[in-house]
Amino acid sequence: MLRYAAWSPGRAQVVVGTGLVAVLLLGVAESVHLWRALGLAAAVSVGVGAWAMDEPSARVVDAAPRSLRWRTVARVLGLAPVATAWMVFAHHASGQPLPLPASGRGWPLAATGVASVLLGASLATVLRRRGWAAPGQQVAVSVGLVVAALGAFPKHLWLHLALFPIDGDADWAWALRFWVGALGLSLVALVVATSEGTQLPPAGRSRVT
Amino acid sequence: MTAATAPARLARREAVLWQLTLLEIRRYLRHPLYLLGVALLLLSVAGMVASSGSDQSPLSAPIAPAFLMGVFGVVAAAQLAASGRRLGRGAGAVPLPERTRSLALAVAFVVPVLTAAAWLATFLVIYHVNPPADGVWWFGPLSAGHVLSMLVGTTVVSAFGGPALGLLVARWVRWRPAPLVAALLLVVAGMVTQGSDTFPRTVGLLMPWTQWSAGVTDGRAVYYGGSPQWWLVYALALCVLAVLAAMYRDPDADRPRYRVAAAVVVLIAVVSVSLAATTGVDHTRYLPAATASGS
Repeated sequence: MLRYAAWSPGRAQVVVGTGLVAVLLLGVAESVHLWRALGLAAAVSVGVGAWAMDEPSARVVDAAPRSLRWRTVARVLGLAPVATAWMVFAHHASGQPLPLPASGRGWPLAATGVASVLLGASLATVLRRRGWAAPGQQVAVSVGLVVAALGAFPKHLWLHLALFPIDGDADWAWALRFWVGALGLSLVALVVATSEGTQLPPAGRSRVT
Repeated sequence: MTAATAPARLARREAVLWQLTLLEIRRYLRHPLYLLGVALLLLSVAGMVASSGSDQSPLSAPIAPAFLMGVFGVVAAAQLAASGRRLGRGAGAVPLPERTRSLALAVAFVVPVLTAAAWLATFLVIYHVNPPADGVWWFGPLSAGHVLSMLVGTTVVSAFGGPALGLLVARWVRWRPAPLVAALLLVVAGMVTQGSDTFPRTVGLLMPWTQWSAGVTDGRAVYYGGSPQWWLVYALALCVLAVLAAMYRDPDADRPRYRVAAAVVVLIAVVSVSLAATTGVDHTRYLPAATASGS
């Protein structure tokens, strides 16, 4: 399984994505000015998670004995580098002295990173189950951009959807609850979508390439 | 015979362009990213309605249409351009030259432009009817022309510039993730250069989106230096340049004419950004938070 994870078709996306996330998180950790890049790092993580689930040879592979669950678990394991980058960042940033907004906020940051990766992976897996061979780009584009937008101007949206508590008075507890909820829902979606007995309606158009 | 049929051919070409433009407008209106952007813009309007008259400053609110129509538009326009090309390839010989399709798509960018304009009109009406509370960061004593140029340049023009960049990327780069990477780079460049102590203001003004104002924690509003009127001209020139560069790539492009046009537009861009950097407010100003009536 680990060998499959290391050599799956999505490995290039994982390598490039991990590099991007690491650079963005490094910027966030080093400069208060770059705190808004936190949403961008989460958006890239969503994109990497989704893109890594693409199966260009779906027509062949889906008919093979190895189940979608086996392949999905392997690919989720392959996303460990991105999650590790977030963990390292959360550990580093939570120990920083004030005025960094993340001071003492290791858990929300770790939850944000892991949940964003799994959010992308789970949405793409649901679409894979519905017969879409390579939904990664669409998920990365739509969900990733929305996450980036929520990170760029949370204060200007109704209800102040502060998924990334950038400002001092932002609600970190709400952000933690949101991302833990997203993490839980993503895991449930992954389990349900890869279950043998699950019947999901096919995508509107044939997406198998 | 040629002289007699030329006007008819021209009229037919214009009719085809108009029909194609309508088609592209419909495709843009149905694009999921545009619809997502509109949904989030409505959330931002609801946020404005809820917070108008309160102690929350709307100074940085124009980033919402710039992001949702501009950055989202980079990817939406690139996908529309790419799907148009795929359709053409699938159909075999297409009677329309690619430059006509590019032009029709560029005209269809009126969709995000009008959406951003509607958001801006709503913004102005909301804060005219119900101005920010006393002590909130606001535009202070800046003239109406100054403020309008700031707002139009960073909302409506950005709503055209993003999709124009998407069209440019789609025509020049065949790599599938290219539009997404372009959008990402655009956002990162904006974050790094705007309101930064690391980069001089000139670098911020050279970007396709610039931040003119912000709030600081001690109750003052900060206005960055430069002339928003000249920057507006610069941003428009960048938009035209992006469309020209996209059409230049089309196989049947009239390249000598485009080169001349591009040279003129580059000249306008250089002059206008130079004037934007050297005229207007000559330094970063910190103003005490104005009362609503002072704005």
